[in-house]
Amino acid sequence: MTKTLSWIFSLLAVATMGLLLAIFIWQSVPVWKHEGWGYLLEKKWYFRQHEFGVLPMVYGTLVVSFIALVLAVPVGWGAAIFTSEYLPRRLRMAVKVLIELLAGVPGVIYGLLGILLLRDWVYDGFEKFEPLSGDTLLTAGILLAVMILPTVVTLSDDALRSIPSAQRLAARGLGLTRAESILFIVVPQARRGLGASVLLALGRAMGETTAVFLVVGRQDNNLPDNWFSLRAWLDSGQTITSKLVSSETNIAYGDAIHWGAIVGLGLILLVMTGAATLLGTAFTRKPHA
Amino acid sequence: MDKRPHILQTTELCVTATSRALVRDVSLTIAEHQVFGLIGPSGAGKSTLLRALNRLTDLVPGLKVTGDVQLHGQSIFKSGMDANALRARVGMLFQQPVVFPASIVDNVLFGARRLQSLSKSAQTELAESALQEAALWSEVKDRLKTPAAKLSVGQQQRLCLARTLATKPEVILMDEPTSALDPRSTEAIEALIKRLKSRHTIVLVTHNLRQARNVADHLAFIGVRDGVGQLLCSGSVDSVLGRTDVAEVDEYVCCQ
Amino acid sequence: MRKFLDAATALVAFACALLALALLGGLVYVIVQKGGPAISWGFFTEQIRLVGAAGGIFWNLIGTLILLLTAFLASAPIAIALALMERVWLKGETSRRILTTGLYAINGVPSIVFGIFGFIVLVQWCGWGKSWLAGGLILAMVILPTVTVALMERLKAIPAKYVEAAAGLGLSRAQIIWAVLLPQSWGGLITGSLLGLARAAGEVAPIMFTATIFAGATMPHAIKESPVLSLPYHIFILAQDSFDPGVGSKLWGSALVLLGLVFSLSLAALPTRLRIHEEAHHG
Repeated sequence: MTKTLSWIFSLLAVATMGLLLAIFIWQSVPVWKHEGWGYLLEKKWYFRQHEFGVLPMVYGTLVVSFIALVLAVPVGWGAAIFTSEYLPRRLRMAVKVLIELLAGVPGVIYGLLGILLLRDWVYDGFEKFEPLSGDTLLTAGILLAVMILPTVVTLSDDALRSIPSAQRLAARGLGLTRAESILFIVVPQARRGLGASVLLALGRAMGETTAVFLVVGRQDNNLPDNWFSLRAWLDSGQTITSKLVSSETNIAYGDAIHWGAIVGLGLILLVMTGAATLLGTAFTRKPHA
Repeated sequence: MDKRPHILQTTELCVTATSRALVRDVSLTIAEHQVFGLIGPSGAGKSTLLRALNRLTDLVPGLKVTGDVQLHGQSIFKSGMDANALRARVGMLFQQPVVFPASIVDNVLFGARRLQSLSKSAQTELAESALQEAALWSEVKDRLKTPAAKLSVGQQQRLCLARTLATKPEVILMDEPTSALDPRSTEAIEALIKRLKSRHTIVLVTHNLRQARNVADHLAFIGVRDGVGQLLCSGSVDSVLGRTDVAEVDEYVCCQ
Repeated sequence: MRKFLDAATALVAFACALLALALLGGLVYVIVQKGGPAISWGFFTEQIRLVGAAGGIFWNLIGTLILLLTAFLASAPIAIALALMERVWLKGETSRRILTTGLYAINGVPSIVFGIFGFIVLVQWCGWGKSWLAGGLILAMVILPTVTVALMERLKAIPAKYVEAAAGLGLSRAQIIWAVLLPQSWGGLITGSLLGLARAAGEVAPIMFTATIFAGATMPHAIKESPVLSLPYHIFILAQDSFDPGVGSKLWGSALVLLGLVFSLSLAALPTRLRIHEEAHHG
């Protein structure tokens, strides 16, 4: 009886996840048929004309996530080095609790702070580049950086802590300074875990919805003329998630192609976050010696 | 009394953890170019005492060291003393070999390369001489670039010794360096210790009376009295092991 | 040079940690400072009026609590089943690994994807329309990995001797589960659920197409077409036209209440988590 129940509930979970994947593949078929590769590679989203190309949104997602990583990873690694290598155990636990609280702050609250504070700071701070508004890819990136910072800190701290203290002691016994033992002994050995923290944070950044929606500007069909132009970060944009959570999702249902284009975005997002998450999880496993 | 000059001297050295004393009032003098053995029951604080000699105790939060340790007549606790530089002069070999996940040669040069500025050729030379001194050269000279973790435990311990020797220490502290090793590797390390004392001073913590008799020139017995580790007697090997008037020593020697 | 590097490393690391904590401190400070004035007894007990510019958030709080309770009740049996699978029923190392990897993969699925899934299956196919039950079930999917992993860790921490002792008495495996494993691990279920719910409480994306509306809902009496109000969606909508100063104060007040709810849930999970940590440390 117990065994049967376990199996039934587990299979229910597996079937639901299978159904989810199947639906996102199957329901996006119409748009793939309609657009072909252009769906992935073109800059056009005019749903009244039934033209769907998601490149600007993929670009938006990648750019805001990249900005978030560039800002959050160095700070996160630095903070993790401090908690893991400099703090005594009790204080370290206290700091970790606080950092995890920061991780729990809902996206909608970050979004609110973004709308009422960060948006103006970005607009004023970058005035000489003449942004059209404070709703920019950069604003979303900065907000995301704060949101993923705790993920980076917590996972990196765990990775650093997993290096045996005998290694540190041996290095100090040779006359190396604490910084040298950290930089040359601990960090190199924790590199897989540190890498995993980046990948898992990336997965989280790409999937974050509410906060990005509120500050990214939600402008369709925006691609920079020059991919490496930093000024383009001060334009409004659209990410995959900000499109998915917009009211277009309500409108699209019932129109097979338009709905396919929406669900297809979900599928692309699933592939991107899934790749980052699974790769990150694989990284945390010890390689077989 | 030994005529050779003293290199290390402790006066009323105490190490206390947050709630209790671990070792109390240890006053020792250690002469140059000898093997100074520390023996006694486990838990008496021999390792702690050893770690106080190059201030590795600084790294354990909550440990407090009082009293003094002098190296060549200079207090190692005086302000301005660079604890890291001190640890290069007073090296340490641990109970378990701790190799870094790097090649054999990188392990040997790990400390030296950062403490001294060495040319490429000087590095090669230093690596060879350190490995020679640690009696490992002939076994590894053809595979210096292979990961150190591939060596046997006995070889790893000699590699750790070579790594310490490469920083040119005057004193080497050894914390039961053979307790993790098989008899053959133990023998090799013991032979090495005897050879090393011509150029270094060695302070050796050991559990093993046979080893103490075999390699030590001088012994100090650390026993537990009133719940605290204390120096109960010291002197030549035979004089310490023959002390039937100190109950703790008598018991320790009989029971082995 | 080496001493400089040593000091610089410590300083930089310290500055990074300080920045992380300052962000938390600054965030809490801003929310409390701006939201504090809106908090009163009436704020909790009245319903919204004038599109959020007046009144309180009573039904929003109730709606969020309904969603959380539903998510807890729906996820618990599945989490128990999955954790027992991993610890007891599955034999092969590979199948266990597939299960845990699957859980990590689910944990990485963006919540908006669950939201759209729920919109298709529950709102459209089942014809529920917006329903508290749809929202609760979708939130259950969001928190499932957190609950399951916490439970698995607790099960793993049960000393083998208990299981052996029970087996020695002749208990069957099912009996061991009910007599030894589950009673010993309910703390893990609670901890995991609290952590999961702390996350679920603030989510907008899974519920905005499936369960929640901005105004005009009270206690749901059925499943079909029975939406609820909710705290995060309330903030989400008000934030988009936040220029009315009257709305502003209520908005910050709602944010403060949501933050308080989320922090309480994660702090409530803390004691058990710290105890597990201690045991791992000493064991």
